[in-house]
Amino acid sequence: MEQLNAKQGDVLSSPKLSFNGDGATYFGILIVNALLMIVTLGFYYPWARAKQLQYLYSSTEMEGSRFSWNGTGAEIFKGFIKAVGILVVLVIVMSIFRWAGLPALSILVYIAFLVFILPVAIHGANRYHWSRTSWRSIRFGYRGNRGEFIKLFIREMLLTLVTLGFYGSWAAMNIRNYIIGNIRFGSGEFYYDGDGWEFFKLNIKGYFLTLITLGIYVFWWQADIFRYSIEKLRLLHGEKAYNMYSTASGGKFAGLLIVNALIFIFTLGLGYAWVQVRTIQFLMNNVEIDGNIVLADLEQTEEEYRDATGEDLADMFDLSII
Amino acid sequence: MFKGNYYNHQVAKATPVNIHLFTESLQLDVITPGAPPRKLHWLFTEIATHVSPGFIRITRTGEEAGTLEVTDPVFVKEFLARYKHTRSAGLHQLVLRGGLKASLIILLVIAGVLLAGHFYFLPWCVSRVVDQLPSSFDKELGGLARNSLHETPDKEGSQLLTQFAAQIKWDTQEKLDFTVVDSDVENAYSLPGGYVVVYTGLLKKLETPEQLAALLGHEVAHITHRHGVRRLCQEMGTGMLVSIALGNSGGVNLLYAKAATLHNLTYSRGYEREADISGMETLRRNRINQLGMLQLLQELQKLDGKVAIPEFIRSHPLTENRVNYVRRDAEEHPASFARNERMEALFKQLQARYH
Repeated sequence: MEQLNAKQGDVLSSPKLSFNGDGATYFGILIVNALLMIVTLGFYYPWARAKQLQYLYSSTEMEGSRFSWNGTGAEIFKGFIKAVGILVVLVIVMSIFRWAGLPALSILVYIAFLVFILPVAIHGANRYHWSRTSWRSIRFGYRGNRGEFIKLFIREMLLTLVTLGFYGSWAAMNIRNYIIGNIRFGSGEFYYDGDGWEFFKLNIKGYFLTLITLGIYVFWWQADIFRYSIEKLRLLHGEKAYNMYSTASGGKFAGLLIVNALIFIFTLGLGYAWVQVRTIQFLMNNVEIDGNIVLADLEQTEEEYRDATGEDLADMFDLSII
Repeated sequence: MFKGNYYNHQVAKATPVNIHLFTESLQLDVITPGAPPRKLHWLFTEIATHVSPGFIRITRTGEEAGTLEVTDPVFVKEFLARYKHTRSAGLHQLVLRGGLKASLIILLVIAGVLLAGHFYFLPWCVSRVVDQLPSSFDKELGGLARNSLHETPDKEGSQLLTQFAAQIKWDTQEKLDFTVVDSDVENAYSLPGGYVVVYTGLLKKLETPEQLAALLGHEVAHITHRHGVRRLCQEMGTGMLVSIALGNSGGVNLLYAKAATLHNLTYSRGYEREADISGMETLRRNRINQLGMLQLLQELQKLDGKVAIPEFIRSHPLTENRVNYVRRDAEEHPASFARNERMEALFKQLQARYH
């Protein structure tokens, strides 16, 4: 393992992550959300989402302090209205072209929209989401540049398309490197060192072994993907750093996912809350952090960003970003 | 006095504090080793809170912003008891306090709301909506369903059936389309927009022109009362309620996915009864013996005993009850009838073709 730039006298620490939530409470929150959504014919959704995220974040603990999600239903609702507005404009423009007897142009507009809106949504969702996340009152943030990200995203997608998907691993890593590399934790900076070729090999191996073992290897493949996403991640603060390690093995993943599936099936889906809580607990328990960063030194540097349009757009396209 | 952690919004440093709770404010004694404690006063009007079981986060906004986190259930309880005067507790808080039992009660309430919505609220909405829909909608929907069925009509038989149906004056502006399809299944169905389909399997079982007229009367009544569209809208509404409850926004294409299954929709007893009674009216208006309906039902009842699960009966709740109200309806509205020779001749031709 690569040596940290540790100075003499630095104290090494390994902050523990844990999840204090329980399935029954979480189930209660989801069920109240469901009731209010039915009664309001879906309009409660933004507030429901805020309640859900607030609970999940407030139940997640690092070094004895809870994380906090500070977004509100009103922000998500405003974002939703704007997102709907954008879609309405799109539909109007498309129907004008179709009405004018230019269906080809209408389809072109649609494709152009999709190509642009995806990176815009991902960018906006990251800005909003990280800005509303904090720990010990220190905000996270996303400092990516929208124009830059759109260019990167479109380039990577085109290359993936041209190579019939083979470039997918490189695209995924380049995009992940960019996004995570721009996430801030106060004055701390995240850094991701994903490599397309390594990720490609990992997936090819996983794919063929899964085929050969009639699917059994899929848990080990999952463990590899998880390990790769954790162990290439670092938090940097000045000259100091935290490294992260995964202790989740394929066997552990098998246990988690099989029991999850059984819970889900035998409760006819009502056990969803327990499934999610178990999964989060599993992930928290299987990440180890260590390095010489002094968490108390992290300073407030990130601005507040309250525009949830990107988050809502991403939600509409069913992109699961965080 | 309680213990908690204070964060100053500038660095990620957890500072231990002692908390004193007053009626309308909090006092935090910030403990710094080697210095006298610094006192902070937060009025309840200046703070926002977030509560999870056994945990509370209190944030003071504005100048001197700061956050206090306490993981002491006793503090949470005592604080909320005083703070509650200024803020009402939401449903979420009630459930958090009530635990799994409260959640299950809410679950029952949801089930109740969905059922009430399905059986009372939706039918009411649906009939309002359907009344607003133009009849071209029925036509389009029925056409869609028909095209997706890929049934090959028996051309000559269909012509005979159409001529037979033309002997009856229908109580609708809609252009009706009668088709015979070659199939052993004893079934007949109608689609929105005026499509009536009779399978040869059922045609074979009919003995008199009055029975056929009654069958057509019943099917056409489904069309004139727009039962198909009503049923479809109702199903869609329920589907949407469920998907709202589950939190996904799909369901737009549901209408067209459902259109394909139109022909094997089972109608509720209410709709069947309406179609029977309305079919009787059609028979009387056309001076056809209304006992044809009764004979038809009895004929179908016989089928019930012979064949395992005849399609026509499965989708039409054929009970004693149905025979009874048809008989009663006939008694209440005595009507004269006349022989229609053209009808009889056409029926004979149909019979000759399929027997």
